[in-house]
Amino acid sequence: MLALSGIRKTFHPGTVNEVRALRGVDLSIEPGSFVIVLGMNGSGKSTLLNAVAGSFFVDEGRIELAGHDVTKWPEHKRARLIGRVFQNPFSGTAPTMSIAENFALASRRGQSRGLGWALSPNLMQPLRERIAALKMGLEDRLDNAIGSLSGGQRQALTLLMATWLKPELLLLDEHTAALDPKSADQVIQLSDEVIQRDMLTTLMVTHSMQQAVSLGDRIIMMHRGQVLHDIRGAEKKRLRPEDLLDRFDEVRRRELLDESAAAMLNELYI
Amino acid sequence: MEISRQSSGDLIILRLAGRLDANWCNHVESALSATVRDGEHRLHLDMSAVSYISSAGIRVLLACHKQLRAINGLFGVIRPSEAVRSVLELSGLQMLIAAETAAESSAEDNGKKLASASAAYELFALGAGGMKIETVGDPATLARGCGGAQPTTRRFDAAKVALGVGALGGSFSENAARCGELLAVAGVAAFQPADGSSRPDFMLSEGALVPEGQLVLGLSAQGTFTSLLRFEANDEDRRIGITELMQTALESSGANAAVVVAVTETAGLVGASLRQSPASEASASNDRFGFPQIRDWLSFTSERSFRDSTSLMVGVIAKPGSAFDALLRPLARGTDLLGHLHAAVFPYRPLRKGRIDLQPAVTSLFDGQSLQSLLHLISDPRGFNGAGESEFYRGAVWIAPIIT
Ligand SMILES: Nc1ncnc2c1ncn2[C@@H]1O[C@H](COP(=O)(O)OP(=O)(O)OP(=O)(O)O)[C@@H](O)[C@H]1O
Ligand SMILES: [Mg+2]
Repeated sequence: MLALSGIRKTFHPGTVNEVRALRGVDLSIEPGSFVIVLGMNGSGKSTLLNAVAGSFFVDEGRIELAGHDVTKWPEHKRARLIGRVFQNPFSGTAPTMSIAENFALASRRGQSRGLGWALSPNLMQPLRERIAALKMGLEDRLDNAIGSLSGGQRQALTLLMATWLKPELLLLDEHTAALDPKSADQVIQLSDEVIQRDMLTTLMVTHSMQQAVSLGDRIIMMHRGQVLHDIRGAEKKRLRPEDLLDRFDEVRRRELLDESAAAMLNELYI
Repeated sequence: MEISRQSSGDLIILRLAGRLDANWCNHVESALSATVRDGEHRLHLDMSAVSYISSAGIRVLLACHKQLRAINGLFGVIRPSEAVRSVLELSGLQMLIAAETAAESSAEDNGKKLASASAAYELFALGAGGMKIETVGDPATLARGCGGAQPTTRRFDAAKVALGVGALGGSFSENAARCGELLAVAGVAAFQPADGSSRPDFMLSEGALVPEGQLVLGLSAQGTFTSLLRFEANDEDRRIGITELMQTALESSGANAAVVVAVTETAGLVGASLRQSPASEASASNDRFGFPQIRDWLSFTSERSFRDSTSLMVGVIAKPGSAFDALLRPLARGTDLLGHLHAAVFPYRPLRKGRIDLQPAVTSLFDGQSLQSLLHLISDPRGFNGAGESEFYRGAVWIAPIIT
C-alpha cells in the first residue's frame, strides 16, 4: 500500500542549522496494516509522516502510495488518498465553521473548493449517526462552531473527518498527546475502532509504550532519521511495555557510547 | 500504620501499630523487604498493636515467611493482638506465630574471618583440588571473525566452568550468527544471543540432559573448588567494588590464578555485551571496534546498571604472566590484577548466609525464568567520565586455584 525507498530529507542544507532529519528510510507497508511509529524526540517521526503527506518534497528516494508514484505529487493531490490527524486539536479543522460545514469540507477533500459549505442531505443522516456514536452529545450541536468544543471533542471529530472517505492511508501524529488522560483514552479507542472497522492502512506516532503494545500489528522505532527496529507478527503480539523500554534503553546506551568509551572498550573488552 | 525497628543480637524486631489492610500492606511489605535487603534474615514482627489484619496483610506475612524460610532465616509474629491471633488461627496459619524468645541462630560451622576495612569476610575451606584451564579460540576473532573455523560442540556439565563468546544448541552452523556473551557453571549454561533478541537464553542440566554449545573464544575450566569466601560490605555505603573483592579472593587462595564463581546481592554492574556475533559470516569488516561502528558491535552500560539485583558471576582472575594473559584484562589501574568476568543478572533475591553449596545456589537463580541480562564485566577506569566498576552488597565466591 505504502512503499518508501531510500528516503532522505535534510533541512537547511549547507547551513549551521542543517538537520539530516531522514537518513535513508526504506519501509513497505501492506494494505490494512496498523503501524505504530516510536522514537525519541527529534528522531524523525513527524518528518516521516510529513514526507508521505507531501508537506515537502524529499531530497532522495521514492514514495509509492496505492499504486501511484506520488514522489512528485503536491500535498493537495496526495490529500485525496490520505487522512491526517495532528497533535494539536486546533489544526485540521476550521474553527469558526460549524461541525456540519467542516464535514462538508472534509467530504470534498482533494476536490475543487468553492461549491458552498452545505452538506448534502443524504450525508446528513449518516453523519448524525456517526457523531451520536461518539456519545459526546455532539449530534445536537452540528451547527455549533468547532472552535467552541473541547480538545477531546475536536480530536474525535477530526478523526471522523479524516477517515470519512476511507482514505488509502491514515496518518496520526501524536493525536492524543495534548488531551487529558480520559479524553486521550476515548480518542484512542475511537481510532482503533475506525481503523479496524474500515481496515485502514495506518501510521500512528505515539510516545506511549502502552498504546504501542496494545494497538496495531507492527511497530517501527525511528532513531536518527532511520528505522532502527521493525517489530511485527508474533514478536509484536507478545511484546510488553518493558521490552520496549529495554529497547529505548539500548538506544540511549548507544548514544552514550562515545569516542572515549570506544577507546576504553578497545583496550578492555575481550 | 506505624513501624518501629529494634534489634536484639542477630534478630530484628519490627513493631507494627495500626491496621494491616490493603491500604497499608505495601508499606509493610517494603519495610520487610528493606530489612531483608540490608542482610537481616531473622525477623520478628511484634503485632500487639495491630487492631486488624486483612487477607492482603496475611499475604505479605506469608510471602516474607516463605522467602526467609528458603534461605534458612527466621520469620515469626510475636505478641499478636487478639484480632491478629484469631484471624491467623482461623485461617490455619498459627505457624506464623512464634515464641517471643527466638532460638539462637543454629551454630553453623564458622569460616575463618579475614580482616578488611571495607568488608567482613569469612573463608570456608572446601577440600583439596583446583581446576585445569583451557583457552579457546583466538582473540583476533572479535575483530575479524572466525575465518571459517568451526568450533566443536562441547558439553557444559557440572564439573565445568566456562565463559567467553559462544552460543547454546547443537550445531555451530545454526549458531554462528547468534554467538554472544556466555557463561557456564554447575551444569547450567546461559548466553546473551547477539542476534537482536533482548533476553538471554539458558539451559539447565536435567536428568540425562546436559547443556551443549560452542565457545568461539574464551576460557574453559574443569575441576573442583577449594574454598568459599563469604563477604558483606561494611563501609559507609555498604558496598564493595569488584577489584577489591577479586583481590581478596585471589589472595585467599594463595595462587597466582584462580577460577571464581560468585552469587551476589548486587549494587550495580558495569559491562558490555555483543550486539552482533563476531562469528557470523556477514560481518567481514576489519575495524569493528572503531568509532562509531563499535556501536553496532558492542552495547556498553555506560553507567552502573542493574541496581539492586542478584547476579551470578563466572570468571578467571590472575596476576600477569599466566598462559592465558591474552584473554584477561586489568581490573583496575594501579593493580596487577587481571581478569575476565561475566555476569548473569536476576531480579533481587536474598542469599542464604554461611556455608552454602554451589549447585543449589546457582540453579535456584534460574527458577522462574527471570534471567534478565548477561554481560561481560568491565571496570571503567575513566575517572569522573567513566562508569566505574561493578559493586556488591554481599555474597558468596567459590574459588579454585588454577593448576597445570
Ligand atoms: N520544517 C523543518 N525545518 C527544519 N527542521 C525541521 C523541520 N521539521 C523537523 N525538523 C528537524 O528535524 C528533526 C526531526 O524532527 P521530527 O519533528 O521529525 O522529530 P519527531 O521524531 O517527530 O520528534 P517529536 O517526538 O519531538 O515529535 C529535528 O531535529 C527537527 O528539529
Ligand atoms: Mg513529532
